[in-house]
Amino acid sequence: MRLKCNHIKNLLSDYLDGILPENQTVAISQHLRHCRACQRELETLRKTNQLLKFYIEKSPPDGYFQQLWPSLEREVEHRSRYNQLSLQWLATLLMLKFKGLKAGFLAKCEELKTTFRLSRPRRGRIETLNSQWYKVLVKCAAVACFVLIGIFIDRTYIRPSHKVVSEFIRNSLYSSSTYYSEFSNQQKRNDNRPALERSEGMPVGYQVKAINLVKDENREDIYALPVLHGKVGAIDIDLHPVSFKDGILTLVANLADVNEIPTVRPANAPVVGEERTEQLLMANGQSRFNSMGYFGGVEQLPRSLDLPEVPKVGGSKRPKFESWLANLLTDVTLPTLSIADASGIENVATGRISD
Amino acid sequence: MERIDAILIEDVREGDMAALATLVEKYKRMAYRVAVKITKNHEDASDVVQDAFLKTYDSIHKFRLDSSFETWLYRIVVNLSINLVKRQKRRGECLLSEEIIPQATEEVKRRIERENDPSIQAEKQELREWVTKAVDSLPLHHRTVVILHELEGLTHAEIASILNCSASTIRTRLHYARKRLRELLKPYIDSTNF
Repeated sequence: MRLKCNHIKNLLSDYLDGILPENQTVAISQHLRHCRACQRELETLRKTNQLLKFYIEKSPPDGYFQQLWPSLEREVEHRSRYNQLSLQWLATLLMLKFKGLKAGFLAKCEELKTTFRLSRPRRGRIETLNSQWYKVLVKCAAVACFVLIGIFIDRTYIRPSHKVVSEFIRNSLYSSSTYYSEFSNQQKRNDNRPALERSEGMPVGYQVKAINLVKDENREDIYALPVLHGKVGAIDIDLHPVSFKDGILTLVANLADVNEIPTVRPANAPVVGEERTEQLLMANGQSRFNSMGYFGGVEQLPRSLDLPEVPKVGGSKRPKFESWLANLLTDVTLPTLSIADASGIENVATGRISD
Repeated sequence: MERIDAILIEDVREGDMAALATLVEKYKRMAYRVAVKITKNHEDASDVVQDAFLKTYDSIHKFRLDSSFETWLYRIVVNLSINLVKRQKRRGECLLSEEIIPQATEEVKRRIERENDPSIQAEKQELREWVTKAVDSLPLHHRTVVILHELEGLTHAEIASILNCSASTIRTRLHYARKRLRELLKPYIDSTNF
């Protein structure tokens, strides 16, 4: 019963306004016949509504209504003059751009003015339309400004497009090359196992990779970037930068940490020889390398890099040139690693060199 | 829409200022009445009325003749008034807060106790003031609905059209506004026979 009363009390406002559906109105009327609480509620609501007739209607000061139309008329006339000025301004603008249109447009303005003078009160529609022209013109100008500002910001502050980057690289690089070399029998200094165990059937080696981007023929301006991750066949290896000299960045992959290195030397492994190894090591300032190991050789890549397209993400999410190029070079896959035969040189292990 | 309104609007569209003057003359009191109730002061109400008629004049070519001009004008006046009040809200509305209601109620009770006071007119004037204060103290949207329904006599559907919301929203606002008014006017409701 209480719930029903609460429900009905919520509907009494609508009941009083007579906007409830017929079945609800009948149900509430029936309920009201025997529920004194709801009757009181309805009566209170009715009295509240009746009290509202005592609301004080605020009157305007004397003469307000008499002055309203004259002031409105003045305002309308003011707007008309403004719109006429807008028309003339538009005409001037067009004159600057299209001289031929000036005469016709001013003539039209003059005609409109004449119309205003001849039938002074009948000008509302024309001015309203002209006002719309003016608004459209202003909106177009605003949009054009925004577009120009956007282009300026994009050109000045946002990253260059992929096309610009690619062209820049192609135009500015004279040549590029990547050097690879492998060293065998290099073991960790802290490897405490017996020498035989360390070397037997356990080929270890280091791969040196140098990426050399040459900007011009004299090779004075060289861009070399570190490669942090490389791949030897199917094996991922870490590459550590160890030197940067004469434009050549030398990276070392410590293969001692890798368990799945093939134990058989590939037949096509390039052989350069100890002398070349020594030269390269000395040239790179890595005299602590052991030159007794096998040196895999130096490979020249084609002169021009085949650069992939920069992802077309556009806008401010475009990658930075530097990070884009770094990623590009990081993903370079090394050729098949040549593994040296470690037998016979088992006692020449040296310390870590990858730091 | 009244036929006379349709003719006047057509004339205004053709640039007849006299027709506009007639429309202004016809609806100026209604516009002011609504504006002053929502804004609660003459200065703001006169600004709203002026802006409303200028807006009407500017947009008259957009008005559809199959709808009511009066409702359209109501919508313009109400929306301008509400926007003005919202802008001024930071200045603080004169709310009849919970703190002052008990005092006022006591005051009313004392006044009612003095039933044999000869100045009945003064009592009535105070009742009017209190009712006006009670309505003015309602939140803006509730006050607007009460003004349009109870004081202007518009239907729920008309108010929904003016305020651009659903009829159920109007019903809900009216329900809560009446509930609040019942609390504010309780002493008078309990003691007055009218």
